[in-house]
Amino acid sequence: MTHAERATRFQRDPARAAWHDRSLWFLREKRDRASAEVPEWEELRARAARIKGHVLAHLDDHLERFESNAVRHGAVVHWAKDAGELRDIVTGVLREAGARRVVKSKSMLTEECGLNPHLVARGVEVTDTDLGERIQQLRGERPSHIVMPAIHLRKEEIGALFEAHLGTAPGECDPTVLAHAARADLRRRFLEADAGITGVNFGVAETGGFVVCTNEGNADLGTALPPLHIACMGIEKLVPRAADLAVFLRLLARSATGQPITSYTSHFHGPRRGGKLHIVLVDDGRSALLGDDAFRRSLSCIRCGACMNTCPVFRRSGGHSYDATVPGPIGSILETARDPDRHASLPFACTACGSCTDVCPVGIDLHPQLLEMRRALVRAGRTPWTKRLAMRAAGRVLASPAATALLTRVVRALPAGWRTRWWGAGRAFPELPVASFRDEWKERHRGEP
Amino acid sequence: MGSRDEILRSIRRTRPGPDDGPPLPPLAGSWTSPPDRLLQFERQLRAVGGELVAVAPDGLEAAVRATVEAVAARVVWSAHVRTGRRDVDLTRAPHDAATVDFALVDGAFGVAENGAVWVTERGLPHRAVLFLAQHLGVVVSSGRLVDHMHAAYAEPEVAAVERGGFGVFISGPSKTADIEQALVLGAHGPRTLTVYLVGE
Repeated sequence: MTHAERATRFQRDPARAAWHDRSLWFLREKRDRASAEVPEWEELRARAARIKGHVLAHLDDHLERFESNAVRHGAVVHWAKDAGELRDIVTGVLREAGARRVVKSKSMLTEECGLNPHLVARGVEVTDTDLGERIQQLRGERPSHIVMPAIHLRKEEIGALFEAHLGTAPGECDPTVLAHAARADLRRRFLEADAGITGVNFGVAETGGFVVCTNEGNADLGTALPPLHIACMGIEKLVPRAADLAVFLRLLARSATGQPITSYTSHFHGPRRGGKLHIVLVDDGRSALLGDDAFRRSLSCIRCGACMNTCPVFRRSGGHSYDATVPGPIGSILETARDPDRHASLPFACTACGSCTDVCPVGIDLHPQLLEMRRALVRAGRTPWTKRLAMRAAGRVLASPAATALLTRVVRALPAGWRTRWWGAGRAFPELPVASFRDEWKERHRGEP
Repeated sequence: MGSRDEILRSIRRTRPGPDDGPPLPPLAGSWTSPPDRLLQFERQLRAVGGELVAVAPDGLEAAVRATVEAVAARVVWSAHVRTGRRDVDLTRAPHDAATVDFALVDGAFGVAENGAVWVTERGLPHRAVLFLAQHLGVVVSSGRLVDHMHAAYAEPEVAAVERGGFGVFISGPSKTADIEQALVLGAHGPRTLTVYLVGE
C-alpha cells in the first residue's frame, strides 16, 4: 500500500483527522513560542548544522575517539553493521548476563532494527517504559510519532486499553489517573528488571560519555536499578566536544515539544557502581548514506519531530500512513534511502511547502532533499507505470501549444462534476473563469501584429 | 573486530573529504543573558512544574521540614539536612529507595534559562534515589546560578562527571504529555521537585 492509500483510510474519519491535525499543530505552536524566547535561535541552528557537518566529515575519527574514551570509563563497545547484528549483539549480552526481564526507554534505532520482537521470540520479556511507547506496546501497534508515540489516540481509547491491561476503572479516561496507573505498573517493572536498554541522544567523542533525555525519568529508572545497561547508538549521533551539547540541548526540547529542556538530561560515563555498561554502535545504512552528496545532511537529524509536527501532510495523514519507523519529512528521506522499494511513495507525500526545512533545528534542507529523492526514484524506475505513462503523456502535450490549446478546450467543456471527481476529490475546485487565458489574450491583443 | 573494521572502512570510503566539511565552530558565542538571573530561574522552574523556596542558610532546615509535612512523608532520606524523620538506610541496594517518600539532595548549580539543576552522585548512596523518591528536594546555593547551558558546561562539577561518573540536569518533576497532550506532573519519577535556593 502507498502512503496515499493509507492516508485515504485515515481521512475516512474527517473529524478525527481534523483533531489529529490540530493536535500536531499545537506542538508546532509550542515550538514557535519556545524558540521565540531565544534571541539567538538562528545562530544556534547555524552552529548545530556546522557541528554536525564537521562530525560527518570526520566521522571515523570521532567514532574511534568516542570508543577509546568510553572503554576508558569501563564501557564495553560493540559495532553492529546492520539491524541483524544489533539484534544478535543485544541478545548475546542479555544471554550472557542471564537477563530475562528488560526495560527499554525510547530508542527509534531499536525500533528500526526490530529488536523487541526478536527478544520476545527468544523468551525475553521487554517492557517499553516511555508512556507513549508503552501504550503502543499494549496495543500491538508501532508508534505513530517519534516523540509522541500515541498522539493519534484519544484518551477514551487509552482508558479502554488500560482497563483491559492495567485494571483501571471502566470508562476512566482522565489522563492523570491513567498516567498514575501506568506509573505504578512501570515502577514495579523497573524494580524487577535484569537489564535496561536505552537509546542515545548524543554521544560525546571528547569524553566517551553519552546523553539520554527523557521527561518521565524512565531511562534513569531503567539504568539505575538493573545491573546491566545496554545503550544503542546510531553512528551519526555524535558531537565532538562536551560543550557542543549546550547548542543541541537548547534546540532539542524546544523544537520537539516547546519545553526549554526535558525533565531529565542524563550524562553517562561508564557503568554505575556494581553494574555493567555495553554500548552498541550501529551502522545499518548510515555509512552508505554518508556517501550520497544529496542526502548526507539528513544524518544530522537529532530526532526532534519538529518536521512532523509542522508538515501538513503528516498532520492530516498520521504517522502510520508512512509505514516506517521514522515517519514524516525526515523519515521520507532516511527510510526511503534505506528501502526505496518499500517506501517509494513517501517522498511524493509532500507538497514542497518547505515548512519542515523552516523548523529543522539542525538546518537540514528537507524539502529540496525530498524533491531530489523523487528524481532519484523516477530515474530508478521506482514510480508506478501509470504515473510514468501519465507524466510522459503530459510532457508531450504540454510541449505542444496546439495540443495544450485543444486539451484546455476539452477540459473546459467537461461538466464540472467530471473535473472534480478524479483530480478534485476532497478539494474545493475553483470556479473557472468565463474565458480561458488564451482566449482572453487573443481578444485583448486582437489586431496587433 | 570484523564489523568495526568494515564500518570504519565504509565511512572512510564514503565521507566527504576532511577538507570539504565546515570547520568546527568555536565554543564561544554572544549568548543572551537574562536581566535578572534569579528571577529567570524562578520563572522557568515554575513553568516546568517545580517549586522554588528561597531561604537564608539557617532557614533551610525549617523549609525542608515544611515540605516533609506538606507531602506527608514518612520515609525520608536526606543528604545532610535534618528533616525531623529518621533517614532510611539506602546503602544496600538501589531498590531500597523505592520506599522513599521524600529525598533531599545537593545540587551543584542551577541554570536560569530552563530552571534546571545539575545533580551528581557525589554524596548519594545510589543515583536511584533521585528517580525513585516520590518527592525530591534539591539544595542549591543562590550564588551558583548560571545564565544558560553554555555557561553550565563550563562549571567544574560537569567537568568532574565528564572524567567519570553520572550527572543529570533535572528540570522540574517527572512528567508526561503522552495522553492527548495533557500535562501530567509525576510520571514515573518524582511527583514534585522543590529547589531550596540558599542565600549566601
